[in-house]
Amino acid sequence: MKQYDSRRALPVRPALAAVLAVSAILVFGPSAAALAAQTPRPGDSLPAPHAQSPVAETADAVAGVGTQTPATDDSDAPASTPAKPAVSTARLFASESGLILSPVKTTKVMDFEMVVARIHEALAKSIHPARRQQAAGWKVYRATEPGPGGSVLFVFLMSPAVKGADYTVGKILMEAFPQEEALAIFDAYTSSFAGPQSLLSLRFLDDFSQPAKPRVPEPK
Amino acid sequence: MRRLSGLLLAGAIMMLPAFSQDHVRAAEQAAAPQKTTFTGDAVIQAFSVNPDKVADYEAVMGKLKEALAKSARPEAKAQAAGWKVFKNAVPNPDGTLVYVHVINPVVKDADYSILNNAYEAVPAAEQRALYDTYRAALKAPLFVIQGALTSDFGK
Repeated sequence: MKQYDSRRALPVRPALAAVLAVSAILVFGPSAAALAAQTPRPGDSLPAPHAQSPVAETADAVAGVGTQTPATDDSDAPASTPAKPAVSTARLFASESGLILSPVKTTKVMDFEMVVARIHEALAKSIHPARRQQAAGWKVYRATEPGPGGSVLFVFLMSPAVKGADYTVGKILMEAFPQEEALAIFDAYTSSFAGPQSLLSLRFLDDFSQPAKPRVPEPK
Repeated sequence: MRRLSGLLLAGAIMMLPAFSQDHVRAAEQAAAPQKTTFTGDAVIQAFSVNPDKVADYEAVMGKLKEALAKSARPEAKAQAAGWKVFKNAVPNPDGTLVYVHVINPVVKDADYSILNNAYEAVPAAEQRALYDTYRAALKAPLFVIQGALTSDFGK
């Protein structure tokens, strides 16, 4: 039985160059070539992916997926910090759901969790209806297996995401707390990262708890 | 000497059921499809899919959903209740698409193998074709993250 046991660290196999070349994501586990090399029989399962993090230790992540480096740039900074040349300044999802993966230093997990609690607090007391909506669909998970470089991987899952709403942590903090306090929290946030965040903007495909619906072709 | 052989024979007879049960169990395990189970509260797993096979991948997802809905296994309904599938809004530069499965909550000890489940929706004679369709569609499994919910901002 293939069991992803949260109580033990799973072996992480080196990424395979062929997969890396086409997907720009660190893949630990069976490659497409390895899968193709199998001689399947009905009844066999394909090998499921091993535990790994999609957050590459370099700045690259999934191609087509926004990569963010809050520890090294100000793209997620509170609005009061000096403006920098135009780069992406917002965490926006153009689709129904979103995912942000954050590798956190093992020594900074408590800091990160403190920040998570403050974001929660900020959203809960916000007077803006959009912030309440954001909160309603925003959950935070902590991975049980280690992330890249032994980091602790946190997952922000926004489902549903509020289309067009800004999920920039710095802005959320600045709206809710005095500037000095917000900056201190934000500093704890940025210094907790062990590597770049990755962001996926996700379209809903199916909910297996709902009755099947006839498929409609996607708009081009 | 005769007494010793008698003892050995008796011992062998007593051991025989144990050996044969182990043997049968081992054979059953070898024949059973490999299960995929999770121990975390929630799972996020991602796969990249070949661009020209997106419809095939989604068809297999349809079979998976159908299988979970029809299954007589008591845990299947609970599995379906917490299983959603998303598609990355933007394709990778090579055209592949990332599909993300979010399973929350996880049903402990339930088999989350996509194929093992989807096979339940097709006759045995069509399982090979289903496997081939799925395998041809799948570019690579990307990652599995499982963990505990640490915060729900909606509560």
